[in-house]
Amino acid sequence: MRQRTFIALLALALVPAPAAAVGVGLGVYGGPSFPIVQDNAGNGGQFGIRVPVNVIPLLSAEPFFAKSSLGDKEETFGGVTYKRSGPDVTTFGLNAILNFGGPFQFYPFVGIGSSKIEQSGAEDLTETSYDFGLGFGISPIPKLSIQLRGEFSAIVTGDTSRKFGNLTAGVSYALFSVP
Amino acid sequence: MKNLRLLLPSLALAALTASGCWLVSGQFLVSFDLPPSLVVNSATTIAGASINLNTISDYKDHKSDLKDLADCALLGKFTNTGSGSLDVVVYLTPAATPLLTTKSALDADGTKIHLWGPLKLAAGASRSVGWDESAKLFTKAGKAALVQQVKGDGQFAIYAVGATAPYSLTLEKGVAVVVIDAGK
Repeated sequence: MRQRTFIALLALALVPAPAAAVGVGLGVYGGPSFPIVQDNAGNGGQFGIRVPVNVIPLLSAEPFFAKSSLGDKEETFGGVTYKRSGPDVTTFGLNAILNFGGPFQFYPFVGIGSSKIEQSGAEDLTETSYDFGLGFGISPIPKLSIQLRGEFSAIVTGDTSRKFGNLTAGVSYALFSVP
Repeated sequence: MKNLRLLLPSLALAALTASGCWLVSGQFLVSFDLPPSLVVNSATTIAGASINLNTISDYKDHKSDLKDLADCALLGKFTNTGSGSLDVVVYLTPAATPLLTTKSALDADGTKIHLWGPLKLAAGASRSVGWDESAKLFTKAGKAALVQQVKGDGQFAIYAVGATAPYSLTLEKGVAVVVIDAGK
């Protein structure tokens, strides 16, 4: 079922449109990442790279790389405080973005990826992840845009998941567009 | 245009529902205090700890939805009270009671599983084992046995002993910690 979803997203994102302009950009971003209902991870940060590819009007495919370093968690047992190092999460994925607007953009997005969770003393986990959210963009000068995004992300670990809320700010530059 | 507006949210919803109910899940910490001081001497008596997770509300609340263990640790201050260097190991036995009280009884128990260790301690040395260090000391078989116990009746016993006799050690302010992975 996951494969079908992935294929559907890919098909949607990459469907060719001969009459439309194709554009490719490059963006960097970063911001806080908040684990949701995870007692062994604290709030941390995330940074990453995005490559928005505008294949048809309104729709962009966006391969991305994201690296999150979650914060340490402190717990006190019997009067002694112990620290658990937070996990690192590395994700390679693809977002499909609906673009609205001109100099001021508003865009919902949904994505799928492969995420690796690494935590000291625990086995590494590499699992499928899903994300969705809303983004806002502004282009102060041609080719450059500033992006703000709120995102919910979940890494599926069997019958459960590790969930995160991410708030990021980023800058994207349109590398080229044809015709 | 209108269709496209509906497409992405629909795809997101389809992706979530297609993959089951993993969304309604979480990782919950459950800790169990061991007796304040466990005094162990291979020549005389060993002291284990009976663990009954059912006495912990977070465990009871999520027991029926328990899928896996996200994390585990055995915390506390270990002291080698003997005259030689020591490798501390911890065994798990499925039977929480009665506790075994001698080295020979533990040696003879065919159900015991090497849960944790070795933790090296020089003669007379003490070490407070932190969460990160402790998580690394679980054996693969021990972790699997722990998962089985946590998903089972939640009752088992653990014994901190030396890898080779003679040994003498104490464990003070010990705490067993598991982070359970629970989902609807």
